[in-house]
Amino acid sequence: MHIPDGLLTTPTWATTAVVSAGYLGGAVRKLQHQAGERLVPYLGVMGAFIFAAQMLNFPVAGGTSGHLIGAALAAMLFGPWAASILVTVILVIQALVFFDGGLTALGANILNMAIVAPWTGYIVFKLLSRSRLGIFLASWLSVLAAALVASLELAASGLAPLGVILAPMLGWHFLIGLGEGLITTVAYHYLSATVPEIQQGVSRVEEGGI
Amino acid sequence: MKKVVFRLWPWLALTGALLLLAPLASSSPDGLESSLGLLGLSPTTGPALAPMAEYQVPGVAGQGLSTVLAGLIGAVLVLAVFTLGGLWRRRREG
Repeated sequence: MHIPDGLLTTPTWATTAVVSAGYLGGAVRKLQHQAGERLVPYLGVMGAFIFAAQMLNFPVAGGTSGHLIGAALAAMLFGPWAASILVTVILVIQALVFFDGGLTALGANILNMAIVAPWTGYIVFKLLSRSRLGIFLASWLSVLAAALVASLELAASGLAPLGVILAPMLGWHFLIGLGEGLITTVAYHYLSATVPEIQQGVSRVEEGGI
Repeated sequence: MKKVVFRLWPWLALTGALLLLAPLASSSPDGLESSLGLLGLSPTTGPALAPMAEYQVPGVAGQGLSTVLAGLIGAVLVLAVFTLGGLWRRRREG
């Protein structure tokens, strides 16, 4: 769902850049206040894992593919503020080093995949009390929410009316999100089982703050 | 830091496994590109400004190897950003 350069109009990319930058400033402070440096090695290794997972496009249907975003997974493991920073680091490296996602579109991509996606995933996960179905739905809806906001940005840039953009965007990401849900459900159980402090100490770090 | 990274070896092993699988990734357009295609918009714009566009390391023969190397570089970069961030914070506090 990485928006390339040349699609968003200046008001759209500038607005999303300002919103994302303002949010990230707050997220960094929040994380420092809550977790200090304890989470840093976990975020680094999980960031590397999600970066690698994002390279693995899986086919869905009709000659279209999708890949894991991992924002919901990170939010379930570390809380939404840490997840935002984790996905932002990945998006910046993808744009600067790998030409995946545009530089001018970086603020929009951060808004969609590093802010909307982890918060959606986190809230649904909490509402459904961390059940297996909750993990699946949370990650699936995180993809749909990101696709919805991406559609709003594309429509705001005058590429097509919102209704015209929404149908294919939500349709494809409905399917891609099922992949996100399956991968996240398996990955969450494996990752938290192999590193038990994630479910005890580290995850408690975010419990107190939000 | 070192101790924790060692404890996270299952995550690192899984990351390595995913990187080795990267050449098998589907090259079909993603959901956004397909949607733009339906609207008659071409998603590729302008020349590649980044050093490793399309997850290929310049000068490495063999597309699969090049993809794995690009992925390895990217994963190490992500890890490095957090490691440096942690060190910077510790120094500022210390």
